Parts: sequence; C-alpha cells; structure tokens
Amino acid sequence: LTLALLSGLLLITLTGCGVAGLGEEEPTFHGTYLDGDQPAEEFTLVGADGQDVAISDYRGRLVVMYFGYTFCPDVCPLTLTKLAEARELLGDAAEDVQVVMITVDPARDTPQDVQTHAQRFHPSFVGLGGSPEQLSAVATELGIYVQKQPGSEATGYLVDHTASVLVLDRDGALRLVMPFDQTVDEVREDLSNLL
Amino acid sequence: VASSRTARYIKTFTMYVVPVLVAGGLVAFFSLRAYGVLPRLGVGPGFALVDQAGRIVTSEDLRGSVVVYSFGYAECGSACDATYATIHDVQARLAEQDLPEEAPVEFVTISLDPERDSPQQLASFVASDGLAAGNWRFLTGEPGALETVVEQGFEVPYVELPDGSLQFEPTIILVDDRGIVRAEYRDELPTTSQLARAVESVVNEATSAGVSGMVYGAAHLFGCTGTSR
Repeated sequence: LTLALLSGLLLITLTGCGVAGLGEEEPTFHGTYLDGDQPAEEFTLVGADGQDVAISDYRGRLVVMYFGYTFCPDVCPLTLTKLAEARELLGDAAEDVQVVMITVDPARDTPQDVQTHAQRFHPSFVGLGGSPEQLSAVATELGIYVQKQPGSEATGYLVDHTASVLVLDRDGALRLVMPFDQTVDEVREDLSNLL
Repeated sequence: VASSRTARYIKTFTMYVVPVLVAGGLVAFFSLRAYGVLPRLGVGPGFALVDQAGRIVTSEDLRGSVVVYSFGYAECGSACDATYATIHDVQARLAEQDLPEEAPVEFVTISLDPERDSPQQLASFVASDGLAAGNWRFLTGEPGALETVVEQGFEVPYVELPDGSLQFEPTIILVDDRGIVRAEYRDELPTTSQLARAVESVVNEATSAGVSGMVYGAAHLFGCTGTSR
C-alpha cells in the first residue's frame, strides 16, 4: 500500500506540471500572463520635478503602466478611473501598487502636466514624460504604437495609441498585459493574484 | 472501528483517487507536450509603418492575426535569399493545411533601408521577384521611426557597410494574435517545418476555447512550455 502511494506520489510529482494545471484553485488571469524568462525592465524618463526617474526606482512594488496623454478625450480618463477604483478595492495591499502614466504626446505634455493629470484620478499616481526620442523608444519596446491623427479645432490633434495596461512584477519584469476592456473587478483580481 | 474505517478510506483513495490523478496528470502532460505550447517571451514592438501599396499598417491592425516578422530590403541581394525562401516555403506549407481561420497568419518583412525603400520601390521589387504574394507584405516607413522599431523593438542590430549594403543577422520573430512574442530565431534561421510547427501551435492556441483554452492558460502559469525548434 505504502509502495503504491509512494509511486503514485512520484508519478504525480513527475507529471506535476500537468496535475497542477488541472487544479481548480490556481489563479487564472484575465489579462495575458507572460511566462517566459523576463528580464527586469530598465528605462529612464523624466518626473514632474524635472529629475530623471528610472522605472527600477519602483522595484519591490507592482508597477502598473498606462500610456496616454492629457488631451485624450475618452480612453485615457476611463482607464485611469478604472485603475484608481481597482487599486482602492485592494485595501491595504494598494500600497504595493504604483500606477504610472506615461505620455505619448511629449509635444504638448510636460512631465508636470502628466503628473497633475494622473493625480486627478488618485493622489498616489505618478506621471512621467521625457524627450520624444526617449518616449518613442519606451513605447515601441513595450508594444505601444503611437500615431497622431487630425482632430477638430476644439481638441487639436489626437494621438491614437495602444490602450493596454502593462504590469511589472515586484522584480521589475513585465508579467501581465491587460487589454483596454478589462473591468474594474478583473483588474483588481489580476493585480491581487500578482501581489 | 475507527482504524478500519481509516484503512478503508486509504484503500479507496489508493484505488480510485490516485489512479485518476495519475491518469489525469499523464493526459495533461502529454497533451501539453503534443500542443508544444510556446512561452510568452515578451511584448512585440508597437509601430505604425506603411506597406508596399502605401497603406498604413500598425501593430494594432495586426492584433487578431499570428504574424511572422522577418527583415530585409530591396537591394539586399543574395544575403536575404535564405530568409525569403523560408518565408515562402512556410507560407506554401501552411496554405495546404486546414488551419482555423479565426486567427489568420500574416507574413511581414520589415525594410532595413527606408531611405531607398519607398513603398513604390518595394512594390516594384516584390513584383519583379515574385515575393510578398497573398498574406505576405513588406513594410517601410520614416527612417527614424523604422530604426527604433527594428533596433529597439525587435532588437535586430544592423550596420551600413562602405559599399552601401547592410549587415545584419537573418532574423525571424513570431508574434501571436495578442501581440506577444512567442518565438525568436536569431542566430540561425528555422527550418520550414520548425517554423510551420511553431506557427501552427500559436494559431491552435489562439483559436482554442473552453477546456482546451484553459489547458493552454494553465501551461503558461506553470511553465509547461515547449521549444520553438
């Protein structure tokens, strides 16, 4: 009997990845979970006080990155509101979540503008800007496409951009890509699974 | 009485639960192996470029498609032959297969020479060489933007030699329907069957739903991923 149990356990261990995958208690993500060996993200932008900010400065917490711009009429405010609500729902754990808004429109947004805009949604939010070259490199690498579109006289030009939210884990590696249409609860669940 | 009941529980457990777990584990293990799920290596670059017909193509337009990226340029000559042959053969092989249509496959070759490769130039080049037919297109763009996409986004370095030709490693990168990099061939081009298998695996995953979709999801969470070679 013991032998049967032991050999059973051994087999389970050997096939552990399959068995664990079938368990129902395991976390599932609404966003896309990146399982490869991800190196920590390393890039530097400019903060509201004009000083360089390395994304690694936030290491140890989850970093939730959203690319947008302060003139953005619809998608950006919706997403920032959603992130603020999801973060509140985490309770005390919210301390370990840093939301960072990065501008895709450096021609109009100074780092201070981005920060002021982001903090309208939550005082803990950070806004980052930088030179067009810096920002274009960071956006490209993180899968964010950016293209100016003519707008109306009232809005000025618009900037089309990928509206996904990217999450770095506590080690600074990109772990999760959340599509624009994720609900507040889905965002909260995903963040809480990563914490 | 209590101990005989415990013994019975253990016996029942051994006779039914253990075999079921083991069998389940084996099935899952082998089905994952069979799927050859490729790991999610990172996000594919974001870009807005133009194709040989002058149409704007963005990384966002390609969401929903499984994309095989390669690199070249019109004046490349024989240095690009192996890459184009691989793409051509994989395109032909996949066309013969009955892949699910919900995640169409696209082949995109990005020009490393935007100064000379205008859309018109690319159009006449692909027409004369019989390239870029069907779901295969060439992209070019504004030099600064293109350089960022190629060097920082796809991480394909290239240098211009004194004779005006460009030196670079032939590279193929497979990006899934969600814009996630699933395979990178950097030192050596894949064989036709390696690449075709990798594309097929990603298309099957992209179009899986229900239980099989959950198996794929679990595979990523538990690192049960295969290799793209």
